[in-house]
Amino acid sequence: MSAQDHAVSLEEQIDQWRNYLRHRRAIQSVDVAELEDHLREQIADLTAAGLAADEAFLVAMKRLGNLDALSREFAREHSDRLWKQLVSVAADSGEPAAGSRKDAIVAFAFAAAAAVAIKVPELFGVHMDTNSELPSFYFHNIPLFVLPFLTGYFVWKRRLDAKAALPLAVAFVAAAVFANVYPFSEGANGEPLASSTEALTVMHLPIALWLVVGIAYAGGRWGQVEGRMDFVRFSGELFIYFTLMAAGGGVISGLTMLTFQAVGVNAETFVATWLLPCGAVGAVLVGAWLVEAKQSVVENMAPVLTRLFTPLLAAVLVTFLGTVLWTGNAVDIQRDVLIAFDMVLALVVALLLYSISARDPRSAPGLFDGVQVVLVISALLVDAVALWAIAARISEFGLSPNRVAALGLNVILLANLAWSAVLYVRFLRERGSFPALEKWQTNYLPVYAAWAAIVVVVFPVLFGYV
Amino acid sequence: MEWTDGMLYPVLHRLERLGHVKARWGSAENGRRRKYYRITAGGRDQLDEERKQWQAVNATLKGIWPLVRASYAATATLFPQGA
Repeated sequence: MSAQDHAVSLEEQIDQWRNYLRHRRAIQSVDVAELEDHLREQIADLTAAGLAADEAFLVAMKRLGNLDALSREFAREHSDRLWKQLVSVAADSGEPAAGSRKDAIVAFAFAAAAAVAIKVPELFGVHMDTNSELPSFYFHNIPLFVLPFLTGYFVWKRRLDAKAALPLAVAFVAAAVFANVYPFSEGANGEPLASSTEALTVMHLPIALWLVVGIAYAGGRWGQVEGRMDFVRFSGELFIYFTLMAAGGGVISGLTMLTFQAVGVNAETFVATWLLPCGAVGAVLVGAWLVEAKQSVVENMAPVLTRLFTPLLAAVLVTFLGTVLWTGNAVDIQRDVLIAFDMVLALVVALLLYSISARDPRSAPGLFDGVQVVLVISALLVDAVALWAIAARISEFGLSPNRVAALGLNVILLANLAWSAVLYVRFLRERGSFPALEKWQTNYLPVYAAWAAIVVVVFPVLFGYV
Repeated sequence: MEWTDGMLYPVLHRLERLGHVKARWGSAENGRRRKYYRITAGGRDQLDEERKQWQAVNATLKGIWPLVRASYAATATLFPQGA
């Protein structure tokens, strides 16, 4: 064999090795390139020491290590890569078709159960009617018609045992009690949610219960940063799927009404009292199943949206600050202006959270990180301006439940963003690491739920159910 | 677990994620693409910390060894071989 032949067969062998390695999900092509460089360096050293090319290849391969053990080590370090492929990984290990079909059947069964559940109150005389207001019973209990089923689906899917599932069930029972026992004051003409503590309860209950879903979703991994981060990813993708399905459902509802109108039948009651509520609760379950089953298809949606809106919102906030400074106009403090600033902060926290969830913690600080810091700091300044203006007049307005809730939320979001800004700047100056920021954000998740629970449980009593 | 050359890379990636080293792609003398790692300021701090801990362990062991040897010697005097 000539030297030429040796060189050709060596290249072929390396090609084969490379292709083999590419099928490992935990090892990406950049890692393959890095390992290949190592392999070639070894082969060069060994041939220089007098080995033939094929011998050198074998020895170098052996030293690089068993590929199974190696890809296990990569998987341990790069667990985020595997999130995208959980389903396919599961499919590799056993009968794939049967597993995913069973999963689909269970998910649709839970969806059907939720759709039935939302109509059960009809049997007890609580009617949905197109001619009158929706009874406040539905406002109070909507999360309880959806989230227990969603939690149940994940309890089944993650194979949680009774010991792990019991606290979740207790949480839902407690939620059902607190959602219904308080004697909220009635509106003048029977309109729903006339009392503001009641409206606050309705808004905050789903937030508190979303944590329960998260604990079920994470399975045993709620204690780990990665587990909670996966739940954040799941929530974002579910939101996107749900929005898409809602848009599709709206089109279907419209068409249903139009076509039936053509034959002289009014389908409005059917659409409003059956199709819409049953479809909406079912869509949450179907959406959750889709996120689980199709992770790799839309896994990038939430991060793509954050990439689009982060620079836009940063520009808006910086312009706003510039305008305030330039014109010297004081912020016009309407009664509930704090809510608007809360929403700005919440949006900034969400953008931050989702860009963190998608960022490779290994990559070096880049331009986008700079934009992110500008966004966070400008949001902090905008909020400081608003708080400054409000603090002066808070005693004048009095502490209504709405204002205390808004102020509490503001403080929570402000604390999150302030420390995030510190961590982010440290990271940019190479004084801190990106995982510190991930850890801070995921550790903060229970704070939102705890605050929501306080609003649901304590506020009505504190403010006398007004 | 058997240590192999390839397992160096997941470890390097972990150090990179924690911000202890920084990596960049460059080209080697022979023109191949190669990834270079360098230690960061934070990594140096961590290294100092680890070194201190290691030195503390080392100092403790150093202090203990003479005592261990002394107790061996004492045992040997009390119970000489073949006694």
